[in-house]
Amino acid sequence: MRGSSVRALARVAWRDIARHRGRSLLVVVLVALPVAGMVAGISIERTTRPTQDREDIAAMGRADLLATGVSRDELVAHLPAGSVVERLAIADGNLVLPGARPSVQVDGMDLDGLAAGMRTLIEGRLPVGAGEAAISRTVEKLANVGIGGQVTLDAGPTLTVVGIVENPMFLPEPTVLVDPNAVAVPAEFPSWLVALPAGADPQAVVEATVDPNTGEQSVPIQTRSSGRIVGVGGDSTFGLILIFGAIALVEAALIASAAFAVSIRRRQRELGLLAATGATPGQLSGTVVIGAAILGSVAAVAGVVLGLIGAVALSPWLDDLTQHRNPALVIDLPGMVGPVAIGFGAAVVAAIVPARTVARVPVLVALSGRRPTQTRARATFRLGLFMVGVAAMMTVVGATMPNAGLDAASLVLLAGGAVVSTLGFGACGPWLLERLGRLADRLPLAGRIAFRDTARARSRSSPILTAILAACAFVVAIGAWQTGRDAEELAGWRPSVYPDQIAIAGPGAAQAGQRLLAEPGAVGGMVIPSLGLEDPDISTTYQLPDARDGNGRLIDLTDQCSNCRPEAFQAYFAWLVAAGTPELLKLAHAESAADELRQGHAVLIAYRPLTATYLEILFQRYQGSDWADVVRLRLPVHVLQAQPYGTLPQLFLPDATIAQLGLIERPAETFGGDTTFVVQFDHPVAASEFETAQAVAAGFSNTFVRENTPPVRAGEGFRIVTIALLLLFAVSVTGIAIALGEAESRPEQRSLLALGADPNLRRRITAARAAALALLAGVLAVPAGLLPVWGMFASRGSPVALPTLEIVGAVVVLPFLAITTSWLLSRPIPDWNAFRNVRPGE
Amino acid sequence: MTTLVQLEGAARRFGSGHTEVTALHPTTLSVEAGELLAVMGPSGSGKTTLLSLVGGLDKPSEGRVVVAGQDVGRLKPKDLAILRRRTVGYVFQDLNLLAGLTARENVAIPLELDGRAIGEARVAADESLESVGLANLADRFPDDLSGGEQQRVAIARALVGGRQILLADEPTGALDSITGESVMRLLRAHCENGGSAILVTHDAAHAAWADRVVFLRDGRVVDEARPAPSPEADGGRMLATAAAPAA
Repeated sequence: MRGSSVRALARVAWRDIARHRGRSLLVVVLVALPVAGMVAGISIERTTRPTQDREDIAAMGRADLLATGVSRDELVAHLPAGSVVERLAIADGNLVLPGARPSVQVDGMDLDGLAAGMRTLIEGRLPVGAGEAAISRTVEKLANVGIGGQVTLDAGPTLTVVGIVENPMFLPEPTVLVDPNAVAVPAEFPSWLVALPAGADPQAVVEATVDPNTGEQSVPIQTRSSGRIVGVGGDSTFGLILIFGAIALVEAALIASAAFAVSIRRRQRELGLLAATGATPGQLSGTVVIGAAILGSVAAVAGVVLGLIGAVALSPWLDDLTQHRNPALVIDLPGMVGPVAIGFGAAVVAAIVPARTVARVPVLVALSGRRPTQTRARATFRLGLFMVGVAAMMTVVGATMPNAGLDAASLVLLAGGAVVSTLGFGACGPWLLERLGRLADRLPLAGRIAFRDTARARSRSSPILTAILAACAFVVAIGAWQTGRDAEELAGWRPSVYPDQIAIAGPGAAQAGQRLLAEPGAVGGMVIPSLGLEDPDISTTYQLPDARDGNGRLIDLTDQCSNCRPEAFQAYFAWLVAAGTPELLKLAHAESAADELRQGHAVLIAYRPLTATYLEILFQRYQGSDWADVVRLRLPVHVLQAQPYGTLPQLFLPDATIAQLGLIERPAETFGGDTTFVVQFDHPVAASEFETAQAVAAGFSNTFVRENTPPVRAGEGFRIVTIALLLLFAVSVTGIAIALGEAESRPEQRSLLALGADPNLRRRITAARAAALALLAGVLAVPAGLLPVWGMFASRGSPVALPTLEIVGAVVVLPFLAITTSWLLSRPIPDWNAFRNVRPGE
Repeated sequence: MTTLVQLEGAARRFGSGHTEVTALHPTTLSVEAGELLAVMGPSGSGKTTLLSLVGGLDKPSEGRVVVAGQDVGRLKPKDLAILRRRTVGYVFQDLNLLAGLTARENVAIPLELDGRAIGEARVAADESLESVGLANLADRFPDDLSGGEQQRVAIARALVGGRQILLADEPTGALDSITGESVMRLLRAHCENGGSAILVTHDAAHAAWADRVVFLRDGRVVDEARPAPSPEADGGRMLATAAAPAA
């Protein structure tokens, strides 16, 4: 196109923008808001992401080297002369407070020395000597003490508070800082900060500690760079911000597309006149695209300004939000190119389909003002079905490949499947709208007019339908994911003991258990024993090589084995082994096992459907570079099904085998390393009895009652918030759709008034339009949202769950709210005189 | 003869004070049953305002407008709507039909608005379409009809349910002469059947179909005439009488 024609088109586009300020403002706002979100997000991310330098200082102050787990003498031997070595001690401790012993972190470091920057003095002074400490604000609040007050550490002296410090990388840290030269902090591993003399190369010092034969360091020393973790957060967060912003802009583009469609419809005669006076189809499309480009430019700039304002407004709270000190707001101008480009692009893309429509309308039809004949929607319907099929395949492949859900390829397939699924259902929308129009024959007048209009104005209705559908599908998918995870967790959960038992664990378990035996209904109890060998260098394995699950598949636990070779087979195994005494068998609800044990069989208590014929007992000792068998014994096994898992013994051995293998009973150790006492009641344990047991256990140090209730479902608060946000968004979009439709309905209102319609008929028509869009979008969103998530869960054999809250929200609450809101916000047909200036075709 | 429409010093003003505009000065006029009244005048002479008052779409600022025995100025909006559904039918030059409804459904609208069952309304609509010769196009949408066909559907809608008074605002303005003549025959036939019609037109040839012509200028009636029956008009009236079904 020549420059003059482009200028002419731009003038036409600009005049249209100026004449229809409302619609223009709508498009600008739709694009500007996501751009603002991205800009603010990028600024905040750049500001709050710690630089490498800050992380290095946090880890090792201004030292050149950090050494851990080595004595000072050993370290100094590897350092050049003139090196400065300072102790760095960080240990857990407890504050002594009335009735409580809260945990704190005791830091022994010289903030005036090499540890400078690891903590920041914000008030008072640093401690000097054995009787002083500086504390963090958290400790200040915990102990209710300030500068001049005193704090006492468990197994430590009373210290006078002389200053307030903070960890700039973790503000809530409960810190008690002491003078490292005066107070011996009992850190598990001694650490040292080292400053090398001028000219010394830290990397060379580290390399000098490496054993050339093994490649391992003889002394664990690291430089400032060798301790770095490759940032997994930084650039991926930037990418995530752009992705989420782009998704929001897709929604915005859909709604903007509807606005452009309405604008074109209303300008149809004007565009027809342009065509009649010589404009080519390309030039006609050009007016639309240029208009979109103008609006996109304005929106992008507005978005940047709004975003920066938002970031500035939020900056005073960044430290609290991130829990670390942040520098002044970083404004990354190059980083804003992405949001600006995406925003501008979204506005232009939104105009593409309407622009193509303009180019295809015959001139005479345009001049007549009649709505152009629409093509049948069957083609897009077929495309939509195809896309849904592709999405299903992508989901299945992504869910069944190795490392499904963990590696990038799988995530791309799963996320891509979700997007394609939503777009596919959206592509089915036009055909369904067409059907809706045809099915409206028997509806009352308001519904018939509304449904027919929605079907006729596909260019306006379809993008809106897709926008609402996408938002609903996203929320349904999140709900399906959460309910699916809950179902998975619940399916995998097993109680630790039977419902008529209480298990107490910890050093005081035996005494607490004895006290509980006096409770009403308690009929017995004992410390859970286990069998083991005296020789600690022999490993014991009790495995079932032919164990099969409920589907007859051989059980291979290789994926749960942290040090197995990939080609190894890891049989089902038991680790809580005991002798089958009558008392213990009764506790384990396995009295029937006594006969099997007398016959010399092992008895396995399985918490899931399982069959096996023999048990293999394997004792091995590590010799040289591999494990050597000490004992390998097989004996028949009998399997009993039970529910509890983890506290009661899983495997009972016959006495003869126990004697043969030289196993001894160790009453103090069970799974988890705690002594466990199980109390048996003659009735299911009530909540009050559980609380009584908790109170008894609390009287003993580190002793507790094992939870025996199913995991609490993930907070529904989050789901309700997302549903509420969805409803707000969807109702707003429906409102925009209604407003756009109303712009075309004035001639219709005039006719209806002249025909004697009740003025409130307009409100009924508006409500019916809202109902049509909201209901169709909500119904389509259910399969669109469920398909990708269910495909994933089903592919890995997990139970699928129905996100009832989200489905009810999309299919019932959303249409109801859309109808109610549009009824309340719409107005009756105005007085006849309001139509005095209605022109034909407008 | 029964007077179906009576204006007694009816006037309509808009605005107030120095911005007040008198669209129609106090006018006294009547239309009898069986009479076709044409209203002519330049743009802005008050023709459409007069029609709006008779149709109950607007209320007079002074005077009375009595339509089928009801004082329009005293009726509540709901009653005015009922008047338009049952007594008065409107035909516009443009913006007539609802694009999303078929011809049958458009014609049935007044009956459905009046609470009649859909089936009953559609049967009546078919009869009305039959009377204007469009029974075979009942399932077509307005976009699929020619201008003349659309106008005839609009007339069928204005007549459905046996409404007595037809108000036509330049119904032939966008039509060719032959189609326009067919529309005039329908109006004439309605009057021959005992109804009455008020026709606003610029076309003298079509005004010649009327029993009486009123001329408006600047909101006043400046002249009144009874057109001499022209051969076309006469032929038209004779043809309309022959086509009209027995009352």
